[in-house]
Amino acid sequence: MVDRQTPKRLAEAATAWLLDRLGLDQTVRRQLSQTMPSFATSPWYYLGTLTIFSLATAGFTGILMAFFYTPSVTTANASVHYIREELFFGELVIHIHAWSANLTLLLIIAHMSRVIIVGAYKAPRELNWYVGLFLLLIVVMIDYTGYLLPWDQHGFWAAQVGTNLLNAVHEIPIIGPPLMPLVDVGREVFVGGPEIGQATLTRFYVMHVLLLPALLVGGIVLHLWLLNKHGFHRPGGPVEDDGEDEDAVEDAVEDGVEDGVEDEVRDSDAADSADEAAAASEDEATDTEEADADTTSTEVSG
Amino acid sequence: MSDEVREPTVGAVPGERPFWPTQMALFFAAGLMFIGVTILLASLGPVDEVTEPGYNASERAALEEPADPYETPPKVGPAEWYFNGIFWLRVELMPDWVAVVVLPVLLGAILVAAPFIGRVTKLETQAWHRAALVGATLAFFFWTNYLGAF
Repeated sequence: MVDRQTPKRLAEAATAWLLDRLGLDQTVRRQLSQTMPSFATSPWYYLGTLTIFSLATAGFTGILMAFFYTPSVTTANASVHYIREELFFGELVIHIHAWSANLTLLLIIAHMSRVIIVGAYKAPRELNWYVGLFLLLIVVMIDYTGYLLPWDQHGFWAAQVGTNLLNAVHEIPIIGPPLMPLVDVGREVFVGGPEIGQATLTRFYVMHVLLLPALLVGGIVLHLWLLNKHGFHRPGGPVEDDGEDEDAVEDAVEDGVEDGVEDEVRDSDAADSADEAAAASEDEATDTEEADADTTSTEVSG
Repeated sequence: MSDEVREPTVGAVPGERPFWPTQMALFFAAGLMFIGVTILLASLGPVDEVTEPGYNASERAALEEPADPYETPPKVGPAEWYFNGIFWLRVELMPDWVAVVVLPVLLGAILVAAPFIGRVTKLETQAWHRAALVGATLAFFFWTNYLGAF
């Protein structure tokens, strides 16, 4: 009988089935049963989440444009012109993409400021701080590589300014000239030669839509995983683990022991489950044999 | 000992909020509102135009001409607005190598070393010290970017 609760029950059953098959049911249940500490419910703690929403907006609009954009010096500008002038809401999509890219950077600056002010960059969260810095660098590089893609005068000459700035390395006293071969290698790899052209556009396009977003997603996952591991830093709270080596070793040993105990428990649980499953399958087999025998006997008797 | 400190961040403080569904719903609502603001801003026009003094919503800017390596436009600047500060510093104040290499490397080194600065120097910073430092840095950053925009 289908009632009003049926769709909800079906959705819950489907979710439970999917999580069970993926082996994530316990993890997800543990995550969802967590609580946010009172200090972390302030709007200042929404900045990281909003950054993810902003990046998702940029990503979604970028995918929409990628259906129509062609990364060639002869057609790139015309394809952007087509998106802007001919496509339904094309101009709005371009502007949303650019605005979300800029707002992302502002959100990251605000998020970083909050982290610095409350001291959340300190031990034991140094690694997450470094992941955050890496993400900032990736976002700046995504912005920079995206600027050239419309292949217009503004973007072309801005890229020219950016790549020419690399020559400043030559002016550094003493260590500058020996570093120039490295700069030339970097220019060859990222710009594709001494001048900005088709090779540059191809490289920037690949970095903008493939390489850097992949690094960004990986970095965000690591960022959130580390946040989950260490929890929120409590402003003005008790002095936390200062990350001294002895403590790290102690923690590692304790974790190792706990993991070992957990593993043993898990193994014994698994063994128990396996025994139960074996017993169940034996029972099933017996039942089936008995059923078969019954059927056979019925057939025979029939 | 670390567990004692780490554990209370999840679930031991009065006034805390369940992550699911309350906090998740609030995050989602805030995210949707943010996307709404982004769409609103985007409907006003391109970033560089809307943020420029004398912006007029009724005047629609034309798409830039295709890139021409042989024709330098009257005004050439850096790509994104946040590079304007470095551009201004190198033009007005200091040699290229200081503005483009030394300053960014120094800033990066400070950010990388930040978690260890207090421990090595035994320097106890309060939140307001750090707030003042962040405020001064941001003021310098936005001021130089503003100057570099013209």
